[in-house]
Amino acid sequence: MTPASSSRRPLLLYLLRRLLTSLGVVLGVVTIVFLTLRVTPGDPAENILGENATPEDKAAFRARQCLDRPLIEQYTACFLKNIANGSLGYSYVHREQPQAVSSILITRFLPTLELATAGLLVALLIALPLGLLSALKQYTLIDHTAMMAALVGVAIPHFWLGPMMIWLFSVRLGLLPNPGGDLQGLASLVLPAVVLGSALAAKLTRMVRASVLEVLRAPYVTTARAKGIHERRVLLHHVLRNAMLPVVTVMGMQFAALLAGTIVTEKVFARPGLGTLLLEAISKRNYDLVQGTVIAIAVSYVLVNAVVDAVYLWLDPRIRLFEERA
Amino acid sequence: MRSVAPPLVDHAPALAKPPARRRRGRVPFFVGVALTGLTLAMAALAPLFSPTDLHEHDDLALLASPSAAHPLGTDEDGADVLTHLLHGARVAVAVGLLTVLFSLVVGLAVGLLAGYAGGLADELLMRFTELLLSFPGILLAILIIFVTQEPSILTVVFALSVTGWAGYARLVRGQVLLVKRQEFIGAVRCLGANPLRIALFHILPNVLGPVIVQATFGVASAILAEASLSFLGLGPQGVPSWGAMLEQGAALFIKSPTLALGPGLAIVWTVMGVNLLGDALRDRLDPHA
Repeated sequence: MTPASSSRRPLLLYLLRRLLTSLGVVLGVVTIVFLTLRVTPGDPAENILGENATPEDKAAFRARQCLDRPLIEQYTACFLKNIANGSLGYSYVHREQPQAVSSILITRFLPTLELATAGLLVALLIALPLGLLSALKQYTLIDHTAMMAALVGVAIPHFWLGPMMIWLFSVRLGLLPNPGGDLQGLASLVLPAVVLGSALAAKLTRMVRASVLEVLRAPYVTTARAKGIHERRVLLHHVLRNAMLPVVTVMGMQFAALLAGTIVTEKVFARPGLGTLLLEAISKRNYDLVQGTVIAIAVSYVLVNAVVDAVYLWLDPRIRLFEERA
Repeated sequence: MRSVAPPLVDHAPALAKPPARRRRGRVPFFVGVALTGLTLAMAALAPLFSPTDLHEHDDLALLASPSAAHPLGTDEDGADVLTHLLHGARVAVAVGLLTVLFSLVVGLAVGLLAGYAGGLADELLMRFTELLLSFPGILLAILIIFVTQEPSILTVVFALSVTGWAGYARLVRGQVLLVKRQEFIGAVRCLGANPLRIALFHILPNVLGPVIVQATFGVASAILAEASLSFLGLGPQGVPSWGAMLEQGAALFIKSPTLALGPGLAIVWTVMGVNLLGDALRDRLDPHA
């Protein structure tokens, strides 16, 4: 066996172990969804269908959702079975033609992923230069302004920033398309991405600033400067690269949170996606579709976190070495 | 007459007048107190300063501009915006504080038990805590409210607390592990104190600093989460909420941009104020963070 392949084996084992743990978390998450829907007080049939539903309708609903069976049986024979066969239940919008929830989810997943990715990019484009500048110009007007903006950015709710930006950029200035119209093209993604990424940009700016300040005081930065390395190279290669490690962790966790944040942003901008699908399903009291959408978002959240873990491992050799020794 | 010897080092000026940087550092704290105080005052004095009754609708003044009778105008149902804004502060404060209180009580209990008992209890409790932390909280809240027919303030508080306690539990457990290794805990144990007494009277007071800091930020998050839920139509029903006002304001933003101004600003200053307080508390109580 070559040395390279033998050194890669523990890493692969670690990734495999991480994947198995993630599968366990996924099972835990779907179980929480199941228990939340079943254990919350009240009769689901009456809550979902309303007080005016006939006893026959309620009985049919209970039979369809297995609510007339014992809890364990509901979990194994209906809930897990629907997940295992990949349907995630059935949407009964047209009673005669039930549609598999997973087939609806697939069409709505991509726009949400697209929005979350764009939101992350916007956040990075704002946070990296602003955080770095803020740290380099600590306690100056630039630093104070950036930190103030970050403080406001965290506090502004998406559902207030969104309409204001639509009013300014689409209605008054006419620079970007109105939401709800033709959603093709990059221009329609700009405002939702800025709105979604604003809070994350604010959090990351503070994070980058703190991280850069810490690295700037590290002895290896002094050494690099003492060796006469150009300041730009010191900043980009020595400071920013090392300062990015904790930022990547937070960024990963926040990317997963962005997926959940799309629910509000999609509503503000009337964009199709998992968020609007969830709200439509709630307003139509579509039990299986709500359950399926929540599972889809929650599972994506867990998987994104797992992927970030793996990326982090690849980025930081210290963790890799630690895992290999463990 | 006996003369008083002059002090070797003159500390008096430093005590009387803090250095400029320290004084500047206190500014965010005072801004935080002022902003949070404004929201608390709105909540406490809402009935006193409301121009109209909460359930009063002026059918002749729909979407009216600000006037003497309606200082912030009216909404599309003819309800006074200022009245709803003031009463909305009560909902925001109630949800913010109650959510943190419930989450804190459960989180402290779980964290203390896991950290102090260790072993299997620790393993099981922490695995469950991590599971909840890997779930987006707002999503579970949406799910709980979906299966509740008429969500009240308490339903929303419950929905947000279901996942909210997990963060406190993890933090408390970590702090307990640090504190319980210290010598004074060993000394108390040697004196014959029972585990419950040690946990409640000796460990708990020593882990509260970082917990109070996190709880402060938790209030801001809960207020934002309630506003988000209300914006999505899933907030407490039958009471005015800033999120619900913004939902109406967002739909009518082009026609009446001022409608969303009040609740939007109220959310921003409240969340900002509480976060500033949290920052100041962190500097004071948890300087290592």
